[in-house]
Amino acid sequence: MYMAKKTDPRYFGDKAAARERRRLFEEIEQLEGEIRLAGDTVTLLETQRRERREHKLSLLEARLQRPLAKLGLALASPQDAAQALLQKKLPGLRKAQRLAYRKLRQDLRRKEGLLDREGRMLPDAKDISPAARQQLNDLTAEQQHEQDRMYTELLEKARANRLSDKNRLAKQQRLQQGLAAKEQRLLHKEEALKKADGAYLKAQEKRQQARIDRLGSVLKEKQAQLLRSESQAEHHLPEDVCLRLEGLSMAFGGLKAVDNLSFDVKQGEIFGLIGPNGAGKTTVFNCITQFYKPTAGDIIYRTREGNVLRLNNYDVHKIITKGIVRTFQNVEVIGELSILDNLLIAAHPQYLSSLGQQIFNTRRVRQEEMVIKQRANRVLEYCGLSAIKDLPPVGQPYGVLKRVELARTLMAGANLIILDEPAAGLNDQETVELTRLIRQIQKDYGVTIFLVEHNMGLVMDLCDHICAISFGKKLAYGTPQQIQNDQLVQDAYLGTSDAQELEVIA
Amino acid sequence: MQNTFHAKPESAIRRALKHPFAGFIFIGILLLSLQVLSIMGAGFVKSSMLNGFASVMVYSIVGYGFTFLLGYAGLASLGTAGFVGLGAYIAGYLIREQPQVPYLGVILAAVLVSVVLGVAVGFISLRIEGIFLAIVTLGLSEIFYQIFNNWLGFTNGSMGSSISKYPIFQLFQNPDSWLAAIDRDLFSKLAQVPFLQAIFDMKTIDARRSFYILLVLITVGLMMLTYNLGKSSTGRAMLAMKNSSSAAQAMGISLLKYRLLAFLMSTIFAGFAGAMFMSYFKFSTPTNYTIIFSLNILAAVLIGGSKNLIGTFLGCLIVFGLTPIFLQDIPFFRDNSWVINITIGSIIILIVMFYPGGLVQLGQRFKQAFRQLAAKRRLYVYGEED
Amino acid sequence: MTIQDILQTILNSLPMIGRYALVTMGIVLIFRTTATTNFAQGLIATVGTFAVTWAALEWTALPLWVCLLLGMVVAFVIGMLVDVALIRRARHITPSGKQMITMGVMMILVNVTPVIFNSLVIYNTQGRSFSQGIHQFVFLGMNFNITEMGLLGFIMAAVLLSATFAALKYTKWGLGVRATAANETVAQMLGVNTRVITAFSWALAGALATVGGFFTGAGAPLSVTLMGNAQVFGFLACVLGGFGSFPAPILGAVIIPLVYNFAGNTSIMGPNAGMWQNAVTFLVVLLLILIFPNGILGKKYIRKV
Repeated sequence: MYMAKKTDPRYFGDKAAARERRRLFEEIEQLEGEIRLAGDTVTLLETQRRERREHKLSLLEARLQRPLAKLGLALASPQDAAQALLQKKLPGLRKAQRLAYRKLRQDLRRKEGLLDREGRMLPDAKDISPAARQQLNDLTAEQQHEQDRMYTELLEKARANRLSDKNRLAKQQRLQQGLAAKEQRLLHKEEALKKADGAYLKAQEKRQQARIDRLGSVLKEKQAQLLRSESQAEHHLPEDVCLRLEGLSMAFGGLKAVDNLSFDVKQGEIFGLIGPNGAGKTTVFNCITQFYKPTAGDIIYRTREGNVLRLNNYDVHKIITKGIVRTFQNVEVIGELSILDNLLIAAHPQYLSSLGQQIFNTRRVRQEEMVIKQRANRVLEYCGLSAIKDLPPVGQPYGVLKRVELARTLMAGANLIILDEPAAGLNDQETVELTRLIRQIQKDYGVTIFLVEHNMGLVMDLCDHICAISFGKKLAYGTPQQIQNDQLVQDAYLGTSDAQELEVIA
Repeated sequence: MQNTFHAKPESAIRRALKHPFAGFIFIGILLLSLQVLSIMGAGFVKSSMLNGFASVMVYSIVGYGFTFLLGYAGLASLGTAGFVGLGAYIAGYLIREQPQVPYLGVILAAVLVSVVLGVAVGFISLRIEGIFLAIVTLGLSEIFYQIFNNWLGFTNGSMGSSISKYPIFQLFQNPDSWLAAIDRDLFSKLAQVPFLQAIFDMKTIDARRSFYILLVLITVGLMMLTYNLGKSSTGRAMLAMKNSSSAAQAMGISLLKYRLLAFLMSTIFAGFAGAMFMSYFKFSTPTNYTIIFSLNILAAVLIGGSKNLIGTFLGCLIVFGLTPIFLQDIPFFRDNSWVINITIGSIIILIVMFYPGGLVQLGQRFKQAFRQLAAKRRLYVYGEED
Repeated sequence: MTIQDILQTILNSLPMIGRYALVTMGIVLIFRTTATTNFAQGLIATVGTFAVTWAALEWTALPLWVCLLLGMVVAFVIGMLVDVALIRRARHITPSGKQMITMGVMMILVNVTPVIFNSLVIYNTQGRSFSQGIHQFVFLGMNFNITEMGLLGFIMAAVLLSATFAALKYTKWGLGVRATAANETVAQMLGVNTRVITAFSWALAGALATVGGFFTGAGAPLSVTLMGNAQVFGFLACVLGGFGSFPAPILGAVIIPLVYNFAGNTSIMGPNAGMWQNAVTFLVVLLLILIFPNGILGKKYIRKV
């Protein structure tokens, strides 16, 4: 890793104070995450409890219904009773009969040599002989008969069990009473359950609220601390700018992949970075996300909350907590995990329980998992991936994997989404769909999108502003219209004649 | 979430069987019942067999740590032998030479040293990756091997380190130290319970049996805890790191943290298992801890499917348990011990070559084959569906 | 510690350098062509050495170099068999899986070898060697000595390695090996017969290591642990030099014996030097590897995202 050679004190006053501020930022982020988690837990528990209650009640109802059903059966007309009993018994009988039919048919076919050794019909097999057909028809008739017989038997039984009028009256009464009692029980149960759930939820709410309060007071304190230290910071980032590169340079040994590059990405826009192969586009991304530490220059960024940070100061795995999420040129989804779990990976910084709690799988861990899974399910639905969420990503089409990556950025709560060649490897149809999704995400989530792309159609169609680079240097910046008409850009893409090149040098 | 509540109500037994811990508990019950049978005087449960199972349990503990390292974090280490040996020798030294240290202190010492080691190797793993790392840890293990052989005061050299008594269940050796005093307070209270009195008044063989039972509980408990961690966000983060370290970093996963954690898990489990080995077998020689041992652990984990704890246990059973548990009683194998090792070697090669997913994959294949067979029979008897 | 002492220690390292370089060459050949860390390398060499000794004791009339050739042929065949029967069929499995296969081979060889050769009782008898003499000479007015057998071993290793490098550079096989090492699939598509290449690499690795084994064990009672140290040091040599190229590991194989012999020098390390010789060597080598994590001659690797 190349370390930044230059730490510019301009942005954060002295180093120790800067470190302190970063620490405060981090703690505040963590606290906010915990508070959000606590709030989500309560609402989720509420719905969960309600569902559980309904489930329990339905079970109870089924249980209470059983003796009453018997009563009802006795009271019904013999035909109805027989019919009801038949409905219960018929499926089993039909299944057995069907199997017997198939067995007979198979035996007959085998006898006539219509089958191969495994029992499959031979390709040129004729229909079975009329005699065998007759035998089969007989069986069908016999089976039909058997069904009828069953019905008559049941009917007979029902008739025999027919109640005398006096008994009937008593039973009728009992049924009425039973029904009333059932309603009563159900009501009681529901109330009891509601009460228990209410108490549970209240306790939970109290717990979480206490937690929120406690965390909130700590949060306020930290924020106050941050405010006090604010005087030390001098950020220069206009209100509408989300990301600013200032004199960014990145050299590998002697090779300058990015050379003194500066540009602004406005808040809420779709920004495109274009350039011929090897122009250093991906290197710019890697510098922003701190995979490479820039050799010189600053990357200034405004978070969703409005804090202005110098990204050079952060480790690569801290970048996502600032709301910057990237996708990869050649789709880096985790093959060993399901698509849902891939989203949970993106939510990794949202998991706040400690290792010890995870080892013992405490209630806190389970609640946390529950809440974050629900968040993931929402994102999956938004991206249209719900149907395949439990499948492994291996073997899914490329377009789906790209969408999983996009879903991951949303899951992480991105403010700035960095897309590395989103349309690479997609066919036209998939590209159109992806374009639509990107635009929709930008609209619905109010995020800033920064992308590198070779598909000029997509870039010109999608972007608000474009920066063109070549050999790590900026060629042009402007709206798609301006870029299209820029001479330098055209030259870089199409090549220049020697004469022109000489002119430029001169 | 909705579905789970409105699904058809399952019976309690079926639900319990589906619980991820069911398999672990089943293994625990099997292991316990062997000891119980032996206590009740069943002839076929020989003490050598029980010792064999005990060694399988001890090594499977090493295996669980290694499962995390290899199966989840995707890091390979060939230094396991050294880490296990260190735990064993520390336990042996403390129990033998420092009897005032209570047993919990002994375990703690073994674990602490393992922590230091794990951190060291974890930092090394940031600089060196893949097969290079495995070879470096192999070198590390060789250094420990030399120490076990040559530091006579600590390890008793190639003669082997031994202890004379089972370290727990007879704990009141030196009443002077303050830690022992705490132990005494605790245990003297416990010893007033009628049932527990027997525990404090044990013969050697009883102590060994008790230790075996303790070992079963520890093994099953560790399986559960390891499983929990594997299913948590930590396990997922490690899998992400294994599959794509750049994606993992972009998703906020610190490579340093999780590599360190993976190595810590493996060394702590190894050190702990070493202490357990010493406590149960009361003897340990340097030749236990050669490169062969590290490779055997690796083999056991790979055979098990490298991410599956029950698989790891079965892998350990195959690699470490076949000889003492089953084959020793067959005269042919007893006289030609080389045949056993060749068999195990061949089994390892066969499983790795034909079932790269380990025993887990093998089990799935069996299930699949069974289903196919059933379908074939259906086709033969009933013909094609129309 | 005098200059003579230092030079003598370096001189003492020469035989070991030769032996380890041979083993290391085999390991790196196998690693580069089939991406396998071969744990059976030492054992294949050991079996070869057993065969040499057996032939030398059984057919006393046979010249020793013929026996050596015979042993090399045995190891050649075993190496080829391992590749053809196992490694080639295991192309799709992970590196640790392949490692496990070689470990299985090792387990089998460790147990089979004594059974085959023990019945012929060479386990405990002295083998034959080319020479028992010690060569003494004067250089810059200082007296030095080296065993003739060791010198011969070093020279032979140098010759064999030079031949191997020449073959790698100039023959069609060498080109194939380099192509396979760079990218097996592409090499295959370009018409390189990678099967022959890998099989021959495995076979050659076995044969080379057998020479190393012979010079380790000549004239002494043999055991299956003969090449244990050479195996581990061979791996470390590869990492120390850098797995990336063919000559780099040889540099590792030169450094390690030097460290080993200096670590065993009583005038530097004190009277207990012999006891801790191995441990100190491992420690120094590990530290060196930590300083050069990509190998001394290895290139720094920049991760592309």
